[in-house]
Amino acid sequence: MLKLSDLKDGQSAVLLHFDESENKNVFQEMGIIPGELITKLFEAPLGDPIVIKASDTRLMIRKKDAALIFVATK
Amino acid sequence: MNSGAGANKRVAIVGNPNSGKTTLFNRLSGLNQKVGNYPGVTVDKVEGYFSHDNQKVTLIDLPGCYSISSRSEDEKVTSDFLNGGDYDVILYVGDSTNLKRSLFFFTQLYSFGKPLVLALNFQDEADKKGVNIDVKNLQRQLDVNTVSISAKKNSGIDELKRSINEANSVSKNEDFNQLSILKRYEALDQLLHGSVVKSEQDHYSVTDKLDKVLVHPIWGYLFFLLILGIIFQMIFYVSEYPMMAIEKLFLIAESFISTSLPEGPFTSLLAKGIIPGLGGVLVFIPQIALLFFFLSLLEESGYMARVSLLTDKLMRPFGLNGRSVIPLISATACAIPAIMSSRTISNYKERLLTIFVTPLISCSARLPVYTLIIALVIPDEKIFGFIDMKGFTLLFLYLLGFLFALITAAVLSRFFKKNEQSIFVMELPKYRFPSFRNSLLIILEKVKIFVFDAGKVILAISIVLWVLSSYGPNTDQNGETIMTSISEVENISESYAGKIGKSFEPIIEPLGYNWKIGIAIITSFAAREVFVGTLATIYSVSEENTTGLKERMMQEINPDTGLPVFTLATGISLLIFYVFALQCISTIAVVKRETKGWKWPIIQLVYLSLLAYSSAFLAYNFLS
Repeated sequence: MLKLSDLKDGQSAVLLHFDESENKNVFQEMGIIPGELITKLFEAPLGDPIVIKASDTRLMIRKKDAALIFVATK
Repeated sequence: MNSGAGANKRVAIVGNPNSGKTTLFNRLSGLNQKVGNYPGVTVDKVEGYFSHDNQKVTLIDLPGCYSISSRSEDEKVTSDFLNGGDYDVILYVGDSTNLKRSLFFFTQLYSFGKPLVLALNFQDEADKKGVNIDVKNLQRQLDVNTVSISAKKNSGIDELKRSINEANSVSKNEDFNQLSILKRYEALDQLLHGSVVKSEQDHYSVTDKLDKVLVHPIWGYLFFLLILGIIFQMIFYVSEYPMMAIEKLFLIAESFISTSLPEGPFTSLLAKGIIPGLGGVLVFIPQIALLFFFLSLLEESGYMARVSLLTDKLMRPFGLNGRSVIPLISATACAIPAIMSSRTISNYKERLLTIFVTPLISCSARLPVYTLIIALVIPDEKIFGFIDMKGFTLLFLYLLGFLFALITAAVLSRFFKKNEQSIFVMELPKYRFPSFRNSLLIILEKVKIFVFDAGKVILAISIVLWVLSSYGPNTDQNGETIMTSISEVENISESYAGKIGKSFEPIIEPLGYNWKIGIAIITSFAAREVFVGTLATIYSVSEENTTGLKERMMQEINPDTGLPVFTLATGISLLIFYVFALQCISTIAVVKRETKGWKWPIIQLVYLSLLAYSSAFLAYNFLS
């Protein structure tokens, strides 16, 4: 299954669900919610964290955390 | 409820980070601000005031949050305050350019049963980007006084003040009771559907373009180095002029008082204790003001979040945050503003870790000590024929401090972070033009905090140190011990500090020091550079005459061995001692102020003293 951390720069995908329930709320309260279209914009120069576009904001997220988020490309 | 005209109305300001909440707070209260404490936490309680139509309003600026469920210490302050109920109205600051995300937290606030006021900030940006908000419709649907504003451009502020005054009835909205996160978003989506018309224009087009350069693998780091360079120049060189002026002013005051007031203990206390003590507090203001001026520009422009993005991977192994880089670099000038600037680190443990290791970075006050000792013991030779030994030693000392800062952070973070939820998601806000007015208010707040909070401790300790070094025990005609002013006992070695320094000798002898160095170590607790001045006094040469001091110190012979006191071993041992030791009361006072208690400064003092002592001991025994 595809994870948010697997996306290539500029690639968009729909968020399906989260791996762990405990962290789920942190993501959701910041606007990372299932059904939403998420775009991976680019990676930090050192490869981590990554920058994503979700509900009209830009968020940075570490790769290991992005690996907890499952997505599907259209 | 005290909502009648004339009574004081208490308003809690809440909102997401980057919503312009503090800019609005500064806009509403201007210079009428006061910083206090919340019991038991390190977060400052910032209150402001304004009057509108005879109604006095107190504003409480709460830390930014994304929801009511608290995770960090800052967020806990917000939820505890809201649960505590000591306020009449909640003013929520929303982002007009991203209503859905920013109103999520807002919809949770109905449960507190208070009147709510909604300020939709960044109205100017929303207008430009073609976002059209039907405020009247939104107000009706939310049952909340709603005002479109721009805190930076000062628009809608009067209307907002009026709305705050008129907010007397509890806001209710049955739609948002007891909803799960996703259901809450759904309800909000439906509600916004009729009130917000968005254009397809992307708000981030400028930001995305700037990020292509500012977080570019090469240009991004070059720009970051440039920013660090500017900050370093400002607090290292530019601040030197106002600092010199302040010092000069206090010297004039000192000599004016000593010459114009009748001689006596009171004049001496005023001229030699209180005035220099006050000067020792105020001299930090230029550095603090300059550093916070730049930090507020970086924070408000949105660049600070990019610093985290650039350095997160580098700092993570040491348990530090990307934002720790700025305090650590600033500390090469002075630990005081550096420790205060660690406030921009939102994670409490990372902030504490940064504060803890910051004094290990060699500051400018160590330079006179390093220079004197290096000149004394390091030979004028070249390594491999081209590397200057003296310069190399100086570089080694700076690197040693930096290395141990990282090692200490790495070790300590293992203890700190055991049970912490380690998820890291952070918003990359839009780049925005910062407001100078806001920066000036931030500088004022920080300077006030330093002078009135840390300043008290610094002044008190410097007076104690003054008493210790200017009075000494003496015997009167009846054979009883009395306290005598040092001018009468001639020599600093006869003072209390001198006596302590001498009784200290057995403890510092294993490091290769004699009692003269012991006295200088004690007096230099006031500030490290005092070390040089004290030695000059002991060797009775004028402080400006450093070559004279150097020669006298070189000639010093150890009476037991008949060999010079300042050997290479003693010198290196002393240098290493000063790299590690927390020889600075101002740092201790500021750490106490920033961690809101004596626990951390004491742990830090013990740790750094032990580290200094044992490494100096090892260095001395290895070299002699």
